[in-house]
Amino acid sequence: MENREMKMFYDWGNCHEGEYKYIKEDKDSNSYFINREKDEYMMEYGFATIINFKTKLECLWLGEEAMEEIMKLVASTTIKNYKRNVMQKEKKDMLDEFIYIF
Amino acid sequence: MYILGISALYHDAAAALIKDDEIIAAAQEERFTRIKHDWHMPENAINYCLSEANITSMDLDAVVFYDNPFKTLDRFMKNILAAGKDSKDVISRSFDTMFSDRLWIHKKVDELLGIDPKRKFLVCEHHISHAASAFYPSPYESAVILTLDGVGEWATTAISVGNQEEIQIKEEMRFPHSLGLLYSAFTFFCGFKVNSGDYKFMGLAPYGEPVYEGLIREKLLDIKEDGSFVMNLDYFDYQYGRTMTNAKMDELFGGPRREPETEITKREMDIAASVQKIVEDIILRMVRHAKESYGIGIDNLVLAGGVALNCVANGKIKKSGIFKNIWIQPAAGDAGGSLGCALYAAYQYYGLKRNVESADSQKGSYLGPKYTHDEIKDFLDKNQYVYHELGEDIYKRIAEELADEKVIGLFQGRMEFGPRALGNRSIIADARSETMQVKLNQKIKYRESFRPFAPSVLREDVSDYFDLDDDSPYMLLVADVCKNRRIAYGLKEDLEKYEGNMLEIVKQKRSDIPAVTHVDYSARIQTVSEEKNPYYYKVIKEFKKLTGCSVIVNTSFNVRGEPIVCRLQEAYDCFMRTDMDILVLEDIMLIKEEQPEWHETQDWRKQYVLD
Repeated sequence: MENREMKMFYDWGNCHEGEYKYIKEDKDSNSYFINREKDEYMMEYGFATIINFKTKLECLWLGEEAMEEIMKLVASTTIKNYKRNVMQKEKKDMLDEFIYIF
Repeated sequence: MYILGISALYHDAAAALIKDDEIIAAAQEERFTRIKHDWHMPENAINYCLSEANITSMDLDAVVFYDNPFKTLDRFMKNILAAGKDSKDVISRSFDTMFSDRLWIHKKVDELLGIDPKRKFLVCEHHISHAASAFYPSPYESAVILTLDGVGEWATTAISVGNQEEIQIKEEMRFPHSLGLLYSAFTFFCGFKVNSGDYKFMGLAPYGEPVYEGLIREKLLDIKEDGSFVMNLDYFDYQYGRTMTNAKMDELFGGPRREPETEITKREMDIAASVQKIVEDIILRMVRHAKESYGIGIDNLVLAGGVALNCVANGKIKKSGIFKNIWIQPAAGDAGGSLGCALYAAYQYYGLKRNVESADSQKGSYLGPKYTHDEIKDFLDKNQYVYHELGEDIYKRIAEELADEKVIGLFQGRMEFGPRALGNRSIIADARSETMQVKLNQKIKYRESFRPFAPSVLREDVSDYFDLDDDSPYMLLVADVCKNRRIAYGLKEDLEKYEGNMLEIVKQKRSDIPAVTHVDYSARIQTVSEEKNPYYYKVIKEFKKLTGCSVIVNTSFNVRGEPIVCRLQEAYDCFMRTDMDILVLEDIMLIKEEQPEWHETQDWRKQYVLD
């Protein structure tokens, strides 16, 4: 893997493999739709410091054991990887031809 | 109040500017950078939108991004958990964009626009951005909203209800089970590109027979009555950040995927037919379910998301009559999310009241740059190109040239927002010509011979030619050519006779408007009205006066792999590089034979990667 954080994410994923599962086939169910309650779909967005960012992650993942474990690394990786203006200066690359970007 | 919406960092970056709730401008970044599906921050599109309104970034009250980076981060991290030992590609593929770009979107915007503490920065759920793009510009006070795409944050499909200013998501399907990704997977398997080959895959379907339908349903999908489904992930690899399908899929279909640009065989035609049939079935089930569950007393359905560009499926929805009215956002893919999130902010964050317009408020989707007569003349004079100023005679002259089987590049008015050219950045030709489809594909567009062309037809005459009597101003509905215009021929027999050579098939005359009649007699229709596009309407009206025919061919003004032309020079270059006969810039006509000799030091074909 290209860098230390990537390796740490991989180790974390490996260690917790299967703790998150995609929806699987269920012959007994009538629907694979998930109901949504009324929700806030839009929010003000922004953060500047690692503490600031970590607070937002806590709102997202509090109570989820595996996610709480990785929160600190996600926060430090995010702060460390901010690269001012790099994308605009680099030669613009094409979308991968055969891989869906998501 | 000015609100700027932005879509970027996935596919089809775009910017849209609204003033209060009026759409002022919208454009896709690819048109300016000339990189097809450009996904980077849309700095050129933003600059264009600001200049159209004659404002600077300091006049913006809010900037809205069409996706919520925290929710996308949640999916990215949980995807790692789900993939476990097999997560290396997931991590390495998305690491940089996630941690350097997407999460820092607020800073990226500040870098582009300058810091302004007064300006709000908002993010909007991806499917709400799509839903808002479909509902708010529509002519309906209330509607059921169906949004279908690859994936946005977690959701891949959402059923919502819109009422005046409010939109509420009722149900959704989640990653990795996705109609968009299923379609992309088979697009890939049949040798087309994931991000641009979907139209080709759809166009291929009528050549085939749905012989794989049973196999796909049995092995790959579990579809419920309400259209929701799960995919058998054993056959797919995208969830691991790799190519769409894997070796098990190869085994299921009796061999590896078709290599790009190699011969298209009956297998690919039959796969395309099978997948299209299943996709239509799923969508119709969803529409029926949405009507029964949330549409009691609501006659209107609106659609957005990349899958809503499947105009064949849209035509089936229309024909089903489940909803009386349907309206589809013309920029249904990610680009349109920029418009949707801006409108959502206007109504839901700032509390503006919505005024529903009897047509729609999309302004014909003519939301991009335009050139004045003086700017065009300056450009032509500076370059010493030869031209004729025709004033009001331009419409009649275009009609005469069309009737003489000339191929015309038409560049007028504001550029379209969305992937379809709607008469302002279009190549047009005579739909009655038996040789036009082959000529346009081979000598003008330089694209695959099997691909069909779309008709533009006068709105009032649409039912004389097609099995449709409704508006289709954005070329998003497919309907059949009227039976009395068809010429019988045997597609299956011809495919056998010509050993699958699709060029020979398209040479067969299938109707009295053969250039726009697909091999199954279908056509992707654009209705043209005087209100939406007076210039284009006059052209077709003059053509009708001259020939009795109200239909012309309309294809986008570009060659294969090139974004649709945006600037004058791009239009001229495309005109000179191809076998196009005439270029029209507003009321000015240029004739190929009169132009100065054309020299290029490099092969222009190498400029564009084939799509």
